[in-house]
Amino acid sequence: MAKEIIKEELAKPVVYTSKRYYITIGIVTILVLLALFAYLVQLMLGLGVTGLSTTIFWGMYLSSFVFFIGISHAGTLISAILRVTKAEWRKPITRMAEAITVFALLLAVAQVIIDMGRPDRILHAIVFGRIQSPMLWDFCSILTYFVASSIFLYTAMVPDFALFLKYDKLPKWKARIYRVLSLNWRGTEEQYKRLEKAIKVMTAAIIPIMVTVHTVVSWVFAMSIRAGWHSTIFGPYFVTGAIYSGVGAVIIVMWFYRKIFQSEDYIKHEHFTYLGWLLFSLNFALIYMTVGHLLIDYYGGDVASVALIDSLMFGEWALIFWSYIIIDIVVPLLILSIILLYKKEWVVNGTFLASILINIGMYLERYQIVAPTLSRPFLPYPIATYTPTWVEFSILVGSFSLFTLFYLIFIKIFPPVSVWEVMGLDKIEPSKVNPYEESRVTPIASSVPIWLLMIVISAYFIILYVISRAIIFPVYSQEGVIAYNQAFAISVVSLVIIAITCAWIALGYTIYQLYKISKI
Amino acid sequence: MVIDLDKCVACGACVVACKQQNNVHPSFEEEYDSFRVARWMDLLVIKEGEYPDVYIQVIPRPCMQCEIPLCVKYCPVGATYKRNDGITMQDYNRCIGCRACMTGCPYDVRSFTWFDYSKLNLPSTLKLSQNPDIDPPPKGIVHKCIFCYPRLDKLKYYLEIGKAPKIIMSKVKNWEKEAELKGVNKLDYIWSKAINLLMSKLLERDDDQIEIQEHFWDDFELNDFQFLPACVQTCPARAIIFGDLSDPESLVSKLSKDTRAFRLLEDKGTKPSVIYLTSERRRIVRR
Repeated sequence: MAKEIIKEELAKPVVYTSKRYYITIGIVTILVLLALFAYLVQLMLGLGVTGLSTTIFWGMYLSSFVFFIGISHAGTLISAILRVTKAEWRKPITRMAEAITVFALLLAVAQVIIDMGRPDRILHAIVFGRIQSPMLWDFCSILTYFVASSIFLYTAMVPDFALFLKYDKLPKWKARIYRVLSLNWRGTEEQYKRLEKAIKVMTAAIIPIMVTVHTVVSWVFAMSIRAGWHSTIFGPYFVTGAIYSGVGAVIIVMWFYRKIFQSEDYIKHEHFTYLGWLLFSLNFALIYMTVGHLLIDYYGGDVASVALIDSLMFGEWALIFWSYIIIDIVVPLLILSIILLYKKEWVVNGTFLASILINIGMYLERYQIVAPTLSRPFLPYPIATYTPTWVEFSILVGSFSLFTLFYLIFIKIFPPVSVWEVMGLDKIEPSKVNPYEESRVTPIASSVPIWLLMIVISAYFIILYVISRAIIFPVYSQEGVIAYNQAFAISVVSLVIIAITCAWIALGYTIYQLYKISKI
Repeated sequence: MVIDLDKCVACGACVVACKQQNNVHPSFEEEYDSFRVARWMDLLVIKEGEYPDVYIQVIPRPCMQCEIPLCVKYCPVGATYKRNDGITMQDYNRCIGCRACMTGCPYDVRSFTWFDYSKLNLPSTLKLSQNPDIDPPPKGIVHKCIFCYPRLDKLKYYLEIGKAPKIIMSKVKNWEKEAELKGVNKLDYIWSKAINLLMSKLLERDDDQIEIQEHFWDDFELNDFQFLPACVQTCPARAIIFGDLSDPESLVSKLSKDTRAFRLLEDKGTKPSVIYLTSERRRIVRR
């Protein structure tokens, strides 16, 4: 009976744990601990242990921040955009992608905290937060995105918990968690309707949030008037790059999942082909953006911009710049065109190889945006160079390891494939037997949406507090007030509040639907 | 502040004085090689051409104390702010060390404490030269030139309690009346006039007219220059002139209307309060 409900291959990651899994966890944990040691050294001695300097004061940490925000866009793209366009093939890979989003966001936030000189004062960003600063725009949009994507991930997981409860090989402690998290899902018509509504609203809300997040991340750079950063193309440039590396990250995870759990029946060639085409088209978009960004700066002949681009193309940054062009754009384009047009049987490994190159290349792209600009200030300072030290490298490796660790733990605790969607249970069909019927009702389950609601409301009020400070304290100062920002504050900030409130209302609506589901 | 590049001899005394006054960590070879020199007062070098047709200009560069400071715009926690008198301040106790303000500043005047420099093993001579009145910038925060505001505030305090230098106290009553007539803040007005007087005395001291020098110290003490910023007090060529730009009669206001006057990166819209004077203006602005 049980085996008929959930196919063996789909349940595998949750139920069986191999030796290899523990070995991987061990290796990854050691790397994380090494990074922790490096960070402790940095905390004890100061940021001087990095390669940063007074001229180039943002480096690898900020590149990693932008990079992790970038790959976090995978989840939204795969699940939300493909859901909107009703691409049915997305089903087996949605949850993997959504999990990437959540964990990559966590790592991105960690990078910012590592980069801070005084991480012990992190709460100052909320208590004394000035929404006039682009850093706070980041804070608000990333907090919104994190809460929204976590709830999105959970919402689509609810029927799976109920489904796995029927699976007799599930360990008892997991069954206990699942019973609460399944929100008394019994697959009634109303529950289906409500879940569908919730997912639809979340989908509509999360796409604009995603675009906002990466645009705002780019604005942290673009809002300053430095040559090479002060450019209107930065928003779309970063968003394109983010989706590019995000799709790459999804392909990498898919490939490993397919290899390890032999789930060739679910994660098929077509998935790699479709995502390959997506990469192919994004590659051209990235070429367009890169050329546009550089050409406009160079052709205008502004002294600082020309000096910067000279240093990028022929100067001390040439190695990084040209390896970005080759690894991120040229080679993936060649690989993708060969496998998509001529050698269709290589598509799985081909797109995997291209994705790895793309992710290395996108890291280089972030790096060549952050550091070189700072090396060319407007005034004639001595030209600085920047070489990351062992601390920065080990924290980079540790961050990727921590990401892997989170991911490995996630696939052990929660089903990494959306089983109910893959098995065609996402629509009620009278001919099919409802597999959930026998579930018993747990009253605690309906407290889960209430907890979620409390998290959402508190996060929303933090944001509201930070934003409304702009109106209360136009420009924060201890003795004097400058008036030039005041008109800006009141008009723009009220618009921002309306926009953000819309997003949070969507979250509240979703939680309301979840609550209703649990009450049936 | 006005800096006369025609007078400047590029000795670097202002840089040294600044570091001693504000307890900014001294820059050894190591700091220089890793580009971690603290840039409160710094010397910019403009070089053009090859020997023998070469042009070199050294520009002392304090914080520009912009009227529209981009760093204040950028700070996420309000750790940097503008005082009423126009000095852009840095709150060491609030700064989170994110360095967003450094991206905002087009002049790159801001520095970061990369290590805990208070634990540095300084040579005993350097230790003796440290200023006991000023807290050094702690580890992990951004710091910047503050126009030696403790020195300026000291004069204000002395004026309030009536212990300012004799030469100033003798004129305070006249200035008080003037301030009343004009209807401006008394203390600020007196302070601005007092600074102007000190500044003109400082310039006068080096004047070659012997008659003036003979009676110079009659109502004056060497210590009275302590109310001017350290770089101003030190400059042997008297190239740095300090004063209140909002007072149209002050020395700096008059000099700022000079035909030789220009400001750094005027096109960035920050309205800097540091004005440079040079007869080579065309060559420098072209950069």
